[in-house]
Amino acid sequence: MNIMAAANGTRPQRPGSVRLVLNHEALIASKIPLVKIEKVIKEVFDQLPALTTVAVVEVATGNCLAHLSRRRGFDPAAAAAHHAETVRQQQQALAAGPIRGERLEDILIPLRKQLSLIRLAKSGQWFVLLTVKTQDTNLALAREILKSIIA
Amino acid sequence: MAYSTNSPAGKAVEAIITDLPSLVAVAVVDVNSGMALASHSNSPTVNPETAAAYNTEVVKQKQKAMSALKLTGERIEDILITLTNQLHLIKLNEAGNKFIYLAVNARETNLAIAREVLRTHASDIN
Repeated sequence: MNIMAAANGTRPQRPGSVRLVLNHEALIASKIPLVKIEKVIKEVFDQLPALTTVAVVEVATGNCLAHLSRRRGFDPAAAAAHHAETVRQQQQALAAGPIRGERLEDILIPLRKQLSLIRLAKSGQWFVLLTVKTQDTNLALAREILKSIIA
Repeated sequence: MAYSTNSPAGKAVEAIITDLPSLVAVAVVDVNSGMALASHSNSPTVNPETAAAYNTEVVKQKQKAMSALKLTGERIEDILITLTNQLHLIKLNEAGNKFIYLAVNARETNLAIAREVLRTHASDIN
């Protein structure tokens, strides 16, 4: 396994190799407190150590403010922008409909081998994007964990 | 009450409540997603949906352990968990794709009764 990984030019994953990556420019522009974002990402990682990626994304700009990933060198910028677009579209759809006094809480995207979950902050300004492998957790559990962290 | 009495899962939950009115919580859960198809709790502190999500992982890990041990031709019938004051039971259906989760107070119900109730209702959720 290790030999194969070396041959492919990637190193085997170690639990200690994940680290928080911050997008300072976007963070300053967003005016969302860094401590809050760090706390959320840390809590998600503590409760779901097997996660693939967790990112905090600004809804309005689609900027990924901070992320943590097991995939080495993974840049979630494109994924963040696309998911932010999904959120904005859904928010528009809700605003256009007859539903009043409701806010978008989460969006669940279950695939066969991977689950993507979006959970919006109460302010609606930012959301957490979480991707996990289906073999490591289940949809309800991942959702409950996000719900407990971002009420 | 978080169940529809029109669905098989809801009917099973209703029937279990009838058999064990003093139960703490009950849920019919989809193993794949961990989501409760129907659930009910008599305790404000026990959220059956949260319990369903976590207990799904218990079931999945046991299934993984069985395949690692190459226990072919075996399937999980039920999982019994004894706490200090509560009994938690997990009863899988025949296909192994759904289970009933039941939490009862150990002082009010014994393991044999709780297990028998689940056994009689397991076929309702196929």
